[in-house]
Amino acid sequence: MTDVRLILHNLFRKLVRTLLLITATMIAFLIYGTLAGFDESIEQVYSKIPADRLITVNTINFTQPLPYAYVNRVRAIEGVERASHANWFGGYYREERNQVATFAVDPETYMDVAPEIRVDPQVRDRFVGTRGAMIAPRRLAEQYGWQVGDQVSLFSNIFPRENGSYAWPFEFAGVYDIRAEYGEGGGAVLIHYDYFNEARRFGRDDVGWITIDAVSPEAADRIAEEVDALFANSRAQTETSSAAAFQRGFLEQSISIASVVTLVSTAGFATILLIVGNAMVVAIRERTREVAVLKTLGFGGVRIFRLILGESLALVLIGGALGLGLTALIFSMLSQVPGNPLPPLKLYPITIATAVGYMVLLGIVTGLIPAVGAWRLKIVTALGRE
Amino acid sequence: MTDPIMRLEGVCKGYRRGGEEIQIFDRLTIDIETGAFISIMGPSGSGKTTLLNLLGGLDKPDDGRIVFDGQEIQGWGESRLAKWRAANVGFIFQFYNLMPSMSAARNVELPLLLTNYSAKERRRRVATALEVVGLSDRARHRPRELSGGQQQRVGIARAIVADPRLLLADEPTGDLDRQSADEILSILSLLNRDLNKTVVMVTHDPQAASRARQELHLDKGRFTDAQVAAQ
Repeated sequence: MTDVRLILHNLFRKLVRTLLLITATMIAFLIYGTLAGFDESIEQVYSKIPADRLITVNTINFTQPLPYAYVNRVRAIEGVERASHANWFGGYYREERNQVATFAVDPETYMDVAPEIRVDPQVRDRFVGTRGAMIAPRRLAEQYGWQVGDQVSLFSNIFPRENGSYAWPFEFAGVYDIRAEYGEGGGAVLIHYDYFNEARRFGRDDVGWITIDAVSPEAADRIAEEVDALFANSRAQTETSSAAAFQRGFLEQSISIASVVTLVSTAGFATILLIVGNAMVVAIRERTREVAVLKTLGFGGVRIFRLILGESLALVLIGGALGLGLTALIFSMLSQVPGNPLPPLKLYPITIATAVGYMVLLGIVTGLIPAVGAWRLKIVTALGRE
Repeated sequence: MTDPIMRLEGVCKGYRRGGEEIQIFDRLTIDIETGAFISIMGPSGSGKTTLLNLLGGLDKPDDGRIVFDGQEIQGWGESRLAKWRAANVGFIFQFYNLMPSMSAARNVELPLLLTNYSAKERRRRVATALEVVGLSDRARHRPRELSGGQQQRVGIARAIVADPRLLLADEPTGDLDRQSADEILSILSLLNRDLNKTVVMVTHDPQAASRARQELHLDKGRFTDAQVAAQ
């Protein structure tokens, strides 16, 4: 029997208590893994967005439109290499539970500012050349069985057509893929802005946002300021930021993910600290006599300290590993959901390494008090031999 | 007369209890000869357990010398004393003090975890120790599945498995019926006679004490026997 076996033996001698503690730790690390993994996944995707890409939205918030005329005025600013625009359609297929993220875009220019899209040139030509066309991410098309040439009706939960119907017919022009470096998942259905704009009952000649490519990252800041200054006295003032910042802002409309990670994880870990720490103190107190016997047999204080610290470390590491494993499973399942608007979720090494760091820290802190107590335990006192 | 394996010389030891200083030993001297089987009797509070604590390095004297095999150990630190105990001293307790969640074999194996023996060698030594105490067929049993006498035999196997030269037994039969007590005492005699283990046994039981080769009586921190008192 080695020390590791001795640690595991002691850990599982009270099976129910240990399983409950492991479950509590697992939940804490499931929460941490999910939140931190989500945050890191977003960061990984956004880090791929070029630094010279800007997004302009209405300064009130991104749900408020901008006049279409702004697009050409932006294009005229010095240093703007290209600009495109898009509009949120708010779509679902057949039933509302089948939500399908859909953007009405300028088909000729949108692909140039969406580097994550990889589309077959024939599909692209078919899409650009057909006003009522739509293209969709491959996984979504496969889920609903859309074939090239199919008539597909998408419902908008925002925009009715002129005739009052919320059903919008489209011709399916083909699929596109998301490039691997952007995570392969996600993506939205793309439709023609002109087709959408002419047929919608309200909001005509408005766009949701403008995407700008600057000639260089250095020019981007100046252009952002110039765009916002240009429309400072207009009915729709603008706010221009880097595309990465906009995307993060979109996700963090109501709450900062990083703050959630910090707050929830801190609360979870503090709870674990109290629960596991208290349980370890009680467990070792119950075994005071056994510790004294081990010391009598010749186990040194340092070795006893190591055994007890090893117990709390093993407990937290087992629970934490299960929590991270469960997180990976959930992420994997989420990535299989078609039409999922989230960026591809993954547990990146940095998240795993940080989690393991927290596990080691928690294991040490929770085991420290009983381990020091056992280290300093006087044999004659513990065995009642005074 | 053989050389002493252990010598206590001018040992003083006191405790503070409830603000009162209790002097247990005042310049106590005793030699434990190699291969001796000594029983120590005496009334409660006479210092029997304290003497075992000092002999086993579980406690330190306030003054005086404790010499084991020519080495003074009274000044050693906890870590060095722990190593010394692991190599040289086997303890047998009144209430066995076995690990309740471990099998008899695992309990016996514990002192061997402090050695560099391979797993195979550890298994061999555990089997031998259990055989010596007649419990080969109970190796996988947990303490609660064993009688008091059997538990004490596991305790003895644990005490001898690392082959220490000195065995310290604190009331080893105090919790046993007569028959079990006799069995335990026979094992201790065998260990002393056949394996040349030095045994120091504290007991309240005159019948148990009489099984030793030397009986000593302790009262108020002093040996009353003329033989020891003369030393």
